[in-house]
Amino acid sequence: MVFNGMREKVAYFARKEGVSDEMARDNVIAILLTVAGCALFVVLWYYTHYMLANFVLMAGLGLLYRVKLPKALIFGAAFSVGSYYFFSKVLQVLLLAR
Amino acid sequence: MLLGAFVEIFTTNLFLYSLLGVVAGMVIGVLPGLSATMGVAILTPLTFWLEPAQGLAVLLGIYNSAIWAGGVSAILINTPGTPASIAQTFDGYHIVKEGKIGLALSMNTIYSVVGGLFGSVVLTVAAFPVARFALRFGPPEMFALALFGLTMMISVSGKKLVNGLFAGFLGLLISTIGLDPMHGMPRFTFGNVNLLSGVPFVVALVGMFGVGEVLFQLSERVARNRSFAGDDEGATKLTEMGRMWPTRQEVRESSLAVLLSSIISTVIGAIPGAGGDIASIVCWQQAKQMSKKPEEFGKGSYTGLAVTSLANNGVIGGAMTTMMTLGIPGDGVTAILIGSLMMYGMQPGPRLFIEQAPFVYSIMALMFVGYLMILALGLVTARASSVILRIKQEYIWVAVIGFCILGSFAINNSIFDVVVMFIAGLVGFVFKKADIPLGPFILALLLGPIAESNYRRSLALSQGDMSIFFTRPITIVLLVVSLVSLLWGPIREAIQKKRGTNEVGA
Repeated sequence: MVFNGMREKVAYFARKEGVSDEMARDNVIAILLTVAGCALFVVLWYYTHYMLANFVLMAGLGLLYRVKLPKALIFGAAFSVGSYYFFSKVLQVLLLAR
Repeated sequence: MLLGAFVEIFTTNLFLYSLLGVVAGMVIGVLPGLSATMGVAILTPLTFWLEPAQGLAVLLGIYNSAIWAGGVSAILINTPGTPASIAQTFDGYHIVKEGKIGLALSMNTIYSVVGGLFGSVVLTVAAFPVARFALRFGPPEMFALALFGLTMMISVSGKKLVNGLFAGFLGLLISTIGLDPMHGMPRFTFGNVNLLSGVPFVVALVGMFGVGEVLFQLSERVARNRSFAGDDEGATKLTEMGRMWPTRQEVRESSLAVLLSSIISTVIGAIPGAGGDIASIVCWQQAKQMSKKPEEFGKGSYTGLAVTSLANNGVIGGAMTTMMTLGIPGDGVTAILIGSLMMYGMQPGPRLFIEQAPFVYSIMALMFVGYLMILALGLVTARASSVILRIKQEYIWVAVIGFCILGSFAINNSIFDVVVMFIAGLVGFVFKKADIPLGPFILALLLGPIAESNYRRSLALSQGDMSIFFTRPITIVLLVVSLVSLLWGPIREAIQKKRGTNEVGA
């Protein structure tokens, strides 16, 4: 693949056209923090409750993607509470990590 | 029995589940950030608690509807909602710019339904005969078929053949994780009991197509807080619908191209790895060559929009036929549907037609009913589509990650699956950035165990004699076709290069 890339002059992982330097930096930070946030979510869920872990993840990602604070908090709360009750009451699936 | 299946759909809650799937598919398909594959992958685990027919009613509804709805954003904002809708941007967007929004949207709906119904008829007529033929397949034939599926998927990677091979071999490697199929010994589990049954297929799909796609879209973001319509002005301009229906002349002029495209798209759908994107481009080019006005193609041709709308839904019938009769997925979504059937304890293939014949007829009937729903929904909700396009990308991304977590956990109630899902998401992201096609990887993950177990079973039957693969006619044909499909791309490239050199020399 490396040889083919050199022969065809393909730049893997190249920045998309139209993405400014500032946005490119922002995007890299967003990706890294998303990955970190997902890892944190797994740890939080293991040691605490699904609703808390999910709220932290959903609201945190919303803020990371520059959604306004009140909207991010409302969206996070609605998703975490809604999904927890839908799965535990309707589908009878306990969202317990251990 | 097919009539009985129709009666069952209209007299039980299957109709409501199908409607739910169609509506969900419409939302998924319209939004460029979500594809039919992603939608079906994420929602498959959530249908786990339903009866098999109910679950498939939802998933088929999503599949058919998302492909149709992908054309809506392709036509309205020149951004395909799903990869299969790329070709609809060639002419659809130009027709909208001429002020004929209603016409473009109704043509997308009508011809998507025509293509889908044609494919469904093919499924109904051809599935049982093909399944009866496939019953003659023994382990050597199944090995050759799995190899054929793998090589076809790699060969449609086109110029990215090397990348496709890499993805295919990596998928084969990952598929060996778990218990040895013959001796039951753990392989590559590193002492982890969660890996004894291998890498969970549906979980990996959810990660690659869900989280992986979100990360990829994040990496390509050009502006913050943007809706899929680009800017709100673009979305609000879509208010004057113009005329809704094509004229008789327009229908007559496109009828031959439409008929040919129905056949071509269904055949392409039956080929493993070739999906709606390939079919719609092939049909568009074919229609252009046949047309008396080829100069109109790419500039607002009604025939161009008709055949592309038809083709991307026409492949579904072919893909479903291959998936159900042979257990080989025709495209990415049918690969996921195989996973969902396995979740219900069913194995796609010829035995499904013997052991679960009523279920098979239900699927056929659901295809027809789904398209009738799409016809009604599409013609009524044309204007409402522009509203969906105003949703901000960020909300979709966060929601997708949330659904991926829920879906991957819900299958086995295991947080390990959530971890696997995140890792698969990272892998999917890296693959997309490195221009490595996901199709060969997924197909290898699915077909690897089939190929391995049938290969080893064949050798056990023949007591180690390899000639078992070269003395059975069906096996020989499949192996030759696999070899040809793999070598055809490089050979054709070499011939074209040589022709080019000769012409320069002359």
